[in-house]
Amino acid sequence: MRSSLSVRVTAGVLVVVAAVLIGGGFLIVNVTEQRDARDAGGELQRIAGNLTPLVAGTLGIGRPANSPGDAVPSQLLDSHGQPVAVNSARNPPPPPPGQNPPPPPGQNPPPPLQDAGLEPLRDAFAASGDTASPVGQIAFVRALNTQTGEHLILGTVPPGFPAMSARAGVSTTTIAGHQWRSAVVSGPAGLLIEAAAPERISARAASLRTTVIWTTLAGLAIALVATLLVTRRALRPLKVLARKTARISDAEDLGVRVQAPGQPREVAALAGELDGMLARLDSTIAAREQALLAARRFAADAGHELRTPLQSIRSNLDIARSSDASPDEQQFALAVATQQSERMNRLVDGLQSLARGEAGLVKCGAQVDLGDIADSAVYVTRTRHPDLFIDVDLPESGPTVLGDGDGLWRVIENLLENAARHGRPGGRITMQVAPLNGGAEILVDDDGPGIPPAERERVMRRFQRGPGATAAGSGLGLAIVEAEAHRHGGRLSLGTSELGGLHARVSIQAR
Amino acid sequence: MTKARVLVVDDDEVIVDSLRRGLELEGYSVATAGDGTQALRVVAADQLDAVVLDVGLPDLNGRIVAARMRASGLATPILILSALDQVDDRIAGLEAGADDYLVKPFAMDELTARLRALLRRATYHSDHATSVNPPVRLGPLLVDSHAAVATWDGRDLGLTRRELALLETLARNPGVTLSRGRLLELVWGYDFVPDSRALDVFISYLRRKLDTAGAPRILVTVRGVGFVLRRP
Repeated sequence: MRSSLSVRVTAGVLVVVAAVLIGGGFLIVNVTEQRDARDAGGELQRIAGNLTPLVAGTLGIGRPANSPGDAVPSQLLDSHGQPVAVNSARNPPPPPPGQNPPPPPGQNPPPPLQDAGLEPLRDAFAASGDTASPVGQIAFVRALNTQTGEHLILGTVPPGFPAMSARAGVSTTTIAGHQWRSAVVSGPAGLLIEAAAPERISARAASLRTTVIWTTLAGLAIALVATLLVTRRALRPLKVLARKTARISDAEDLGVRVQAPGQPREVAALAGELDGMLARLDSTIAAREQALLAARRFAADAGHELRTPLQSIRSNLDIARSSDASPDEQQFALAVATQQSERMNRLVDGLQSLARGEAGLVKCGAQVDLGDIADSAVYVTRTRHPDLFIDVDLPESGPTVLGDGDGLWRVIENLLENAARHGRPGGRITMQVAPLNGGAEILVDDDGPGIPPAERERVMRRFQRGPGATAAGSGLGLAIVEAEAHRHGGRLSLGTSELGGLHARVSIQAR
Repeated sequence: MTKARVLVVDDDEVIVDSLRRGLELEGYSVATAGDGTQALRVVAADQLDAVVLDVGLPDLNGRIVAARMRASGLATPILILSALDQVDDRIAGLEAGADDYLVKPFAMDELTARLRALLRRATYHSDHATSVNPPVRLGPLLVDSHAAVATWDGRDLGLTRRELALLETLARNPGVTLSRGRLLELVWGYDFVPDSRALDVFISYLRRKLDTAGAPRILVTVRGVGFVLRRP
């Protein structure tokens, strides 16, 4: 089954819309994800940076060399800022970077933090929890004095979290299937501070993805309906055109035209082509009907013309068989019958030639030497009419034309035969074949009575004899010449010869 | 002298019968056939002097009959009969090896005149060809009527018997223009001028075959006079 054009267009549009929405959506998701990741890193760095002076103060950096008693123990706070664990800075020594920090010394709970110096740090850490997206709640902050090995942890470090990096920068870590993002900044005097938070970017991206999918589905649904409606509407002129065309073949009326104002350009073009085709069909059919009519007339004419000699033959044969006729009368009747059968023969030959000639233009002719053909036709005419003087003017070779050798032979032979029959008995005929504009022309003149101008058009029609013609002629000679000339893209024209008789000229077109 | 035996092949019984009666009146012994298959049977079984063959046979085309006869080595003269509009069949018949054609309808006199000439030629050739005619060589052209072959540069021109005879006649008179009447007399044995283009048709075949073999235009029409074979 053929799919409809609107379905095809809709399918195409849907594919394009889906590709654009899905591709664009995921591009947005991706870009957002990357930008969020960058922002999150910056935010963590900012938080860590903000805490730096406080941490530095807490760890006693920037103060004169600490006495051991002045040492501020580091303390572990939970996410609510409550102290969890305090770790003495000097005991144990700090781990080298790259190793896990010492586990929170839960088995050795430190004494509650008394030092008022920690209060601002705790407040600041708690305040950092307000941080807006994309970072969300800060899980912990760690600090390390690389010169002394003192370190400090605020909040809860998830188990398995790697030790602080010795270099400043942003990094991502996966702990138990959750992504963590942390930023390390370097403070004064070898202080490193790290802020870390669980990843919220993936979640944002996931929700964005869901949005994209729903948008895509909704977009597709809208595109489906809209495209179907629009194409249906756009194709309506075509449907109208199809209905109109169908009506033409139903009514068999080739006079109707389908192009109409208001048609879109493409439909108008198609309708125009259809109209052209209809017009050509119309004229072809008209031509064919005319040809059929001509053929019918031809057959009727031929029947009439053949019946005359046939009647004569029949009558004369009856006379010959009659016992009342004398032997002389019988012989005479037989001679007439023979003569009439020859006339009939010429008629039939002529009719066949004419039928061939009227069959249409020579489609694929061969290169034919018209001079050679004329030479041969002159020879035949001279044999038939030895009493005539035929004056021939031919080039030494050529002219060569593209055509049907048999048909061209008939043209020249009929022209010569016509001149021989209707010219002066024992008179003179001139024949000339010459090249003309790549084609050729054939000129035949006689010194007979000629044909009056008013009669010339008529004698070119079949079965029309000239005024002085005898019954022996078929009345087809010039009609055959005309038909063959026409077949070779040329024509026959008649005029008055300088010799006094008929001047016949046939042009053969170059092709 | 024994009567010459002629086979008349036509699918129309009335025509066969008329021709038989006409030819018998002229002193021929006549065999008849109604179609090509029958004709080939008669040709194989009978000793014939000439065949009058219609081209439009219901079973085998006249061209095929002529071609099979020539293929089986029979040199019997073949005269084909055709209607005016059967030009292609007529040409095919001549190319298959027929010697001449007559367009229907024709006068009985014309048929008997042609037959007489064809028979005379055939007798002349069978009596003299082997002893009298040595091969003719004109540059690259070689015409050997004894071997029934003509070549250009060693390439066989593929001529039928009548084409070969025409070329041989022209080649024996290189540079001499022979009139149509003379050629008809020498090649076909016609002492009358037939009202047809048969000679021109044969000339055009010869030209085409020479042309195909790569020969230059050596077979020339001398307008108003006849034809000449120029020395290559």
